[in-house]
Amino acid sequence: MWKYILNFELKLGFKKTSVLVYFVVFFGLAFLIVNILGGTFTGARIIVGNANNNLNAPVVIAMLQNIFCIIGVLIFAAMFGNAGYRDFEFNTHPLFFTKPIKPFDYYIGRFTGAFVVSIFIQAGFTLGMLFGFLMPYLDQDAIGPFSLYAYLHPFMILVIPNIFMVGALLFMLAVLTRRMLPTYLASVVLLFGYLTAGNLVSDIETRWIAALMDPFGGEAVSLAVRYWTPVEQNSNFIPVSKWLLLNRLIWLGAGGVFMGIGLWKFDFKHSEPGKSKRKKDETIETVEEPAIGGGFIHAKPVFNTATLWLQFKTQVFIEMKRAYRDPYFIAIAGTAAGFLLMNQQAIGNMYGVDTLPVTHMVLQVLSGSFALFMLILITFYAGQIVWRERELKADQIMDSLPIPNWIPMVSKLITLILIPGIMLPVLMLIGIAVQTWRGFYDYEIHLYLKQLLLLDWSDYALLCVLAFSIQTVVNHKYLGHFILILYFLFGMFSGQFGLDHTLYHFGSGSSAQYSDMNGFEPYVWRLIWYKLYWGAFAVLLAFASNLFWNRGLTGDLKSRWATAKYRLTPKMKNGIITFGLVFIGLGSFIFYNTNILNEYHRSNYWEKRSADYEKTYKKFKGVPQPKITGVSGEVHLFPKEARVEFSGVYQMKNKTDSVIDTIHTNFSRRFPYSIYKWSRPYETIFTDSSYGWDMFVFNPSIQPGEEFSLEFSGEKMRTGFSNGGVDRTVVENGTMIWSGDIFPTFGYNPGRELSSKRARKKYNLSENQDPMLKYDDVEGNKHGILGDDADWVDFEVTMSTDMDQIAMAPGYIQKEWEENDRRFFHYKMDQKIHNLFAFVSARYEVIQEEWNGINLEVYHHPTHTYNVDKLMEGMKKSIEYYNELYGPYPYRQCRILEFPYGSYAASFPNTIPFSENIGFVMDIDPDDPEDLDMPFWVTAHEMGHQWWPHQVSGGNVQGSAFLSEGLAEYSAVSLLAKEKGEKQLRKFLKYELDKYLIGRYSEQKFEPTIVQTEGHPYIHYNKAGLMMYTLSDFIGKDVFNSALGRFIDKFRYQSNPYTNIGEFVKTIREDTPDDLQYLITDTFEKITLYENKAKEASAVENEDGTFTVTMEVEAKKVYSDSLGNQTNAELNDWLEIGVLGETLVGGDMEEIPIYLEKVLITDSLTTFTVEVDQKPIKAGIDPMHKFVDRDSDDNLVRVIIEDGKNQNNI
Amino acid sequence: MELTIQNISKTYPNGVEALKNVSLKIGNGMFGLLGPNGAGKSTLMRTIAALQDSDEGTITVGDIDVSKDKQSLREILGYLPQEFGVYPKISANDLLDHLAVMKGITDSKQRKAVVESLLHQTNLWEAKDQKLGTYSGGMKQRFGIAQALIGDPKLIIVDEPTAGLDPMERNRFHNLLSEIGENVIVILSTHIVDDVSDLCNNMAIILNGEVHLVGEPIQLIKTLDQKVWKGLIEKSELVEIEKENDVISSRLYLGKVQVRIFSESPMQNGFESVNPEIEDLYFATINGLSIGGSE
Repeated sequence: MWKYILNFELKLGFKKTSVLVYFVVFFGLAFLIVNILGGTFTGARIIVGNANNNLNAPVVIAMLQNIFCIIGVLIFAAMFGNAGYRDFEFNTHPLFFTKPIKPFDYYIGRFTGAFVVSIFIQAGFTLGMLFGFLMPYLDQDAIGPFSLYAYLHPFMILVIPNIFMVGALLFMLAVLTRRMLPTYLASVVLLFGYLTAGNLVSDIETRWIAALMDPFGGEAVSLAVRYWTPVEQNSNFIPVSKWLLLNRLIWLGAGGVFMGIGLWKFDFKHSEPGKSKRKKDETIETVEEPAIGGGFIHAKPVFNTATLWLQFKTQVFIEMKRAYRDPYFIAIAGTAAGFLLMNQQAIGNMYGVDTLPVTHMVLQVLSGSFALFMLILITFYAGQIVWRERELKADQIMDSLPIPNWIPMVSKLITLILIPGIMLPVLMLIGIAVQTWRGFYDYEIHLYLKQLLLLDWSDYALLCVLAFSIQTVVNHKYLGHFILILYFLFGMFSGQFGLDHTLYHFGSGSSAQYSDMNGFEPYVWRLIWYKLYWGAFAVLLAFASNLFWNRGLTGDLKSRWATAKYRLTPKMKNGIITFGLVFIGLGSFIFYNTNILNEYHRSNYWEKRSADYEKTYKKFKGVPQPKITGVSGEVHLFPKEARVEFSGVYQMKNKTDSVIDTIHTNFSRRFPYSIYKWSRPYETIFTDSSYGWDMFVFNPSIQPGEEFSLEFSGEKMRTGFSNGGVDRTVVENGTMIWSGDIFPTFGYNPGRELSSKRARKKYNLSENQDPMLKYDDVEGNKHGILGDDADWVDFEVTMSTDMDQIAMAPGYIQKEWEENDRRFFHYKMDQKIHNLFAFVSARYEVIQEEWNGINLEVYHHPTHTYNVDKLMEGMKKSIEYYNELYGPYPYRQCRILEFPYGSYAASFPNTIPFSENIGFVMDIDPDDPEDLDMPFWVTAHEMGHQWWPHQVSGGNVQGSAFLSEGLAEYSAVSLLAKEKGEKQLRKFLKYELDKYLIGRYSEQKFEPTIVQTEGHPYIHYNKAGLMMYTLSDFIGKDVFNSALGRFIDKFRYQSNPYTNIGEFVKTIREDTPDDLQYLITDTFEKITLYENKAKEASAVENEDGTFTVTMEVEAKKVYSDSLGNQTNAELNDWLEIGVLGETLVGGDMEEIPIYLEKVLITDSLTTFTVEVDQKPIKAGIDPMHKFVDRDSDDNLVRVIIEDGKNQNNI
Repeated sequence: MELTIQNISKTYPNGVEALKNVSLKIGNGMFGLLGPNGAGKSTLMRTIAALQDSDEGTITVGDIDVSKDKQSLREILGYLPQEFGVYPKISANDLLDHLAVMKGITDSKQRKAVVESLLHQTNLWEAKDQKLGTYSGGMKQRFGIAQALIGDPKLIIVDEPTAGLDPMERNRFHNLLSEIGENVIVILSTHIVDDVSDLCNNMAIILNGEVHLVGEPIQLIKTLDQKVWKGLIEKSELVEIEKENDVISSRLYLGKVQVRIFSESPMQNGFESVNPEIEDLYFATINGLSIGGSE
C-alpha cells in the first residue's frame, strides 16, 4: 500500500514546477560556483584552502555538497513539510483518513516520496558541479582528473543521511503538529546548530564535540582532513574516520528516532487545535433569541485626516499585537537567545584564552552571529506579514474597508521593522547577562545602544523595506523569498564579478570598526551619508510597495501596472521625484568621496597596475643605493583634523664600493612631498606621478664613503571617505603611524608585485615572484631583513599633538613643552637602531615604575586597567631572564603603548605598541594553571625582540625571519616554561603544533623548511616555537641557551654582512652531540613529520607497590617535500616515552606524567618495560607532543592493569 | 440611490468567462442574485465591491464611479464575502471595534455602542470575548454579517450570507436584513431560493455569467401563472416524461418522483396545476426552458 502512496507522491512531486525549478536552480548555482571558482569571470581561479589543491579535489567537492545540503534544508522544509501538511492545509485529510489506509503506509509513503524528491533536488547541485568541472575553459591547471566516486561518495555518506535526518524531523513535525511553521522553525534551528558547532572549533580541546554535534557531518570531515597536504587533498577521498562514523551513526539514529516518534504518535484521528472549546460555543448558540429591532444604533462614519490618523494608529497596534503574540515569533526569539548564550564562549578567543567580555567584544560576537538569524527572520516575516490576510482569507473584508492603501502597507512595514527593533534590546540583555555571568561589570550601555539601535537596527530596517517591497511587487510569497536569497547571494559573490562599488550594494557602507580607544570616530560621517543614501532609496522602495500594493483580487502584470499608474497621484509623484533627487544627490556626494576625493578602481585595475609596476621598475631592483645613517624628524599630529605634518632630514652615505650617480625614490602619488631637497647638486631626471617614482641624478656622482643629506617635508590627511572605508593614518584618539608610511623610502619594492600565479601568467610575468636569496648569499647579506634603505641609524624626533594627548616615538624624552595650545615632545635614541619607528599619540593613563635602573612604563586607555600589572610583570621577568640568557637589556627604559585596531603588538627599541585587543582586555584566570597568560606571553615575545632583531638581525635572505620572530618566540616559550609551569607550556605548544599544521594545510605556494622561510608565520612563529623548545629539551636547556648566548655575542649590531640562519644553525651544531645532529637537520633543513602511536600497554603491580609497565609503541618518520609528497625516512631517532598517572590537583584528579624518558628508537615497533611508583593510567610515545605528528591523539593508550589472571580495564 | 451596472464583462486568465456583458439597475431595497455555483455571482459581487476590476463596462453607485473612486465606494460599503477568514487570536469585540475604526467611526463611545448593538443583533454578545479562532462556522458567519453592517453602509453586499446558518439564525438574519434593507441597497447572492422569496423585492437569475431574468419576484412568478403542473410518477416513467415535457424539476417523494412541468396548455394524467414559486422560475431558467417573461 505504501508503495502506491509513494508512487502517487512521486508523480505529484515531479509534476510540480517548484521541484523542477529548485533542481534547475541548484544545478545552475553549482555550475555558476564552479565557474566562479574556475576563474571564468575573473580569469583567475579562487583558492579554496591551499593554492596547490585542485578545485575539484574530493575534499572540496564533499564540502561544497555539504554546504549546499545545509542551504537545502530550507527547501527540504518545504518538501517534507508539504508532504506532511498538505492534507491539513487543504482540509483533504478526512478524505484520506477515512480510506482503508494504514497510518503506517500513509506515513512511510508520504515520507519516502518527499525523501526521493529532496534527493533529486540535491542531486541537481551535485550534477551541476560535476558538469561544471568538466568545462574545458576552466583553469585546467587547477582541475584534477575526473572521478565519479568523488561525487558519489560524499553524496552517499553526507547528503543522503543528512536529508534523511532532516526530513524525518521535519516530516514528523508537520504531521504531528499539523502546521507548517514548526517545520520551518526546526529548519532554522538546524541551521543554528550547525553554526554553533562551527564556533566550537576555535578551541582545539572541543573539536571532537563539534565534530559530533554538527548534524550535517561537515565538522567531522574537517576534523579528519584539517592537516592534509595538497597532495593528499587532491588524491584522497574523505576518510570515514572515527568521528565521522560516530557522527553519522548519531544523526542517522536521531533520524530513526524521529521516524519512530512520528509513526508512534501519528493516527488518523480528526483533531484540530481549539476543538475543546467548540463545545462551549455550541451551548452559547442555543442562547435565547433576543428581541430584534429597536436596538440598532446608527453611527455616521466620519472620514477626515483625524480619522486617517486614528485608523493608522489602530492598524499599527493590531499588526504589532498580532506579530509579537505569535508563539512562533516568541519561539524563534527564544531559540536565537539560546544559541547566542551558547555562542558566548566564542567571544574573543586566542590560543584558548578568553578575552574579557568588554562590551564591544560581546557585541561583535552577538550582533555578528545574530545577523544571519536576522536575515532569515526578516525574509520569512516579510512574507508572513504581507501575506497574512490572504492566508487567513480575511483579505476580502480587509480590502473593502474604506481606508487608503498606505494604512495597511505602512503599518505592516513598521511592524516588520519593529521586529528587529524588539529583538535587538533582547540581544543587549543577553549581552549584559553574559557579562554578568562572567563576572564582568563594566557594562557600556551607551555602546550597546549605539551599535544595536543605531547601526544594526538601521541596517535591518533597510533590509526590511527591501524584503517587504519584493514581497509586495513580486506578489508571490515563495518567489519573493527566493529573490531575496538570490540578492543575498549576489551580495556575496558580486565582488568576484568586479562589482564591488558600495553605491550599488543595497545597505552598504554601514560597517564601522569599533575601538574602545577611538570609538566609531573615523566612520561617523561615512555612516551618516550612506545611511541617508540608502534611507532615501528605501523610501522609493516604499513608494513602489504602495503603488503595487495588492488590494482585492490582483490581475496580471499589465493590469497591476495600470493600477499602479492610476494610483500615482501628483502628491506621490512629487514624493518620488523629491526622494529620487535626494537619492541621486547623496549618491553623487558619495561618488565624489569614493571616486574623486579618494581612488576607486576595480580589482583588475590594481592587478594591472602591480604588473606594470613590476614590468617598468623591476630593472632597478638591487641597483646600488646609498643608505640612511641618521634620521631626525618632526611629526606633528592633528588628531581632530585627521592630519599629520612631518618633516625631517636623512643623513645618508654611500656605503657601497661603487660610484652612485642616480637615486631612485618613492613618493605617495596622492600626497607627494612638499620639500624634497638633497644637500648636493642634483637634477630630477624622471618623475612618474602615477607610480610615485622619482630619479635624481647627481653631478658630481656620489663616491664610496661620501656622506650627504636629504631634507623632506609633507603632510598626509584623511580626505572624505573611500569605497572601502576611511583612512586611519591619523585618528582622533590612538594614532599609530609606521615611519615607512610617511618618511621617504628608496628603490624598487618587491612587495608591490603581483603574487598570485594565475594573475602573473595573465600579465605575462614569470609564474613565481623571485624567491628571496638563499641564506648564504653574499649579496643578500649585505642588506638587512628590515629593509635595504638603511643599516643601523641614529634617530631623534620632535612630535607634537593635542594638549590632552601624549605623543611618543622610540627613544628617550629630551624635552617636553607646550606651545600654541599643543604639546611637544623631543625624543632621541642614544644608540644605533633599525630604520623603523612608530609615531603614536593618544589620551593615555600612565603606569610607571623604576626597576633595576630601568624605567618601565605602560601607557594605556583609562578604562583598560585589567592586565596592566601582567604587562609590567612580563617586562620585568623578560628582562631578568633574557639578561641571563642573551646579555643585558640595552636600554634604560621600556614602554608599552596601547593603540586601537588590529590585534598585534610591534616591538620597537625600548618602545612596544600593543593593540588594544591583545593583552589589555584578556581574561586570565590566575587559579587555572592551564589558562595561558596571554598578556604575559605577548610581552615576553615582544621583549624577546629587544634582542632579536634589535641587537642581532639577519640579512635580507631566507631564514632571517626566523632569527627575529622564531627566536623571540623561543624566548617567550622558555620564559613561559620557567614562570608559568609545564601545564601552560604544554597547552601553548599544542596550539603551536596545531597552528603549524593548519598553516601548512592552507599554504598558498609551497611549504619551506625553516632555513628557507621568507616570512611564513606558521613556520617562523609556530613551527619555530615548538621545535626550538624541543631542541633545547633534547640537547639540554643550558647547552642550547649558551649556544644562543654565543651567537648573540658574536653578531650583536653587525651589519654588512649581516648574519644569517646558516650561522645560527652552525652555532647550535657546535654544541650538539653527534647522535642528535640529525635532529638539527630534521628541524631546520627538512620538513619532518612523525607518525607515532602507542599500540598497547599493560602493567603489573609489584609487591612493593610499584608498577611495571610494558608498552608497545610504533614510530615512523617521514620527510615531506614542499607540496606534501611524503617519503619514509630511516629511523634512528631519540624520542620520548612516558607514563601518565593521576594526582589530586585542587580537588580534581588530573593526569600528570609520572615517567618520561628519552629513548633511541630504531625499529618501527618497540616494546619498553619501565617501572613507576604510582598506578599508571596511560602510556605511550611522545606523550608531551614534542614532535610534529598529525595525529597526536593516538600517542597514548590506556594501561591495562594485569592483576594475576584477572584483567581489569581501568 | 441607485446602482447601475452597465455591460460588465470579465474573463479570467485561465479563459473562464465569468461575466458576459452584464447590465443591471438596482435601487434601494433587497435585491436577490440567484444562481447556481459558478454562475459568476461572486465575481459580480466582488466587482461591485471594488475588489476586482472588470475588463469592460462601468458600475456606478449614485454618482460614484466604482472603478475610478474606490475610496468613496468603500466608505458606503458593507461587504460580506462568500468565504472569509478572521484573525484567530483576537476576540470578536476587539476586531469589530477595530473594523469600526477602519470604517470611520472615530468616536470611541459611539463605536462601543455600535459594536455592542451589532453583537446583540447577531447574537454574539455572549461570545464577544472569545477568540475568533474558536468560533464555529455559524458564529463566524454571524460575525461576518456584523462587520458588514458597521457604519450604516448605503450599499450592502452579502455573498451567500446564510450558508452555514441554522434555520433559527437564518431567520434572525432575514429579519435583520429586512430591517435595514429599506433605505439602502442590499445585494444578496444565494443559491437558496427561499432567501430570495422571503426577502427580496427585486431579483435576478444569473447563469454562466449572463443575466437571465430580472424583475420583481411577484411579477416574474405571474408569468408562470397556470403554467406549472405537478404530478407524482413512477421512477421508470421519468425519462419518458422528460422527453415529452418541459420538466422544471423532479424530486423523490415517498418512493416516487414528484415532477413539476412547465406547460402552456393544461395537462392531464394526474397532473394538477399548482401556484408557481420562485423555485420554479429558477429551475426553469437553469434548465433552459423558454418561459417567456425574461426581458
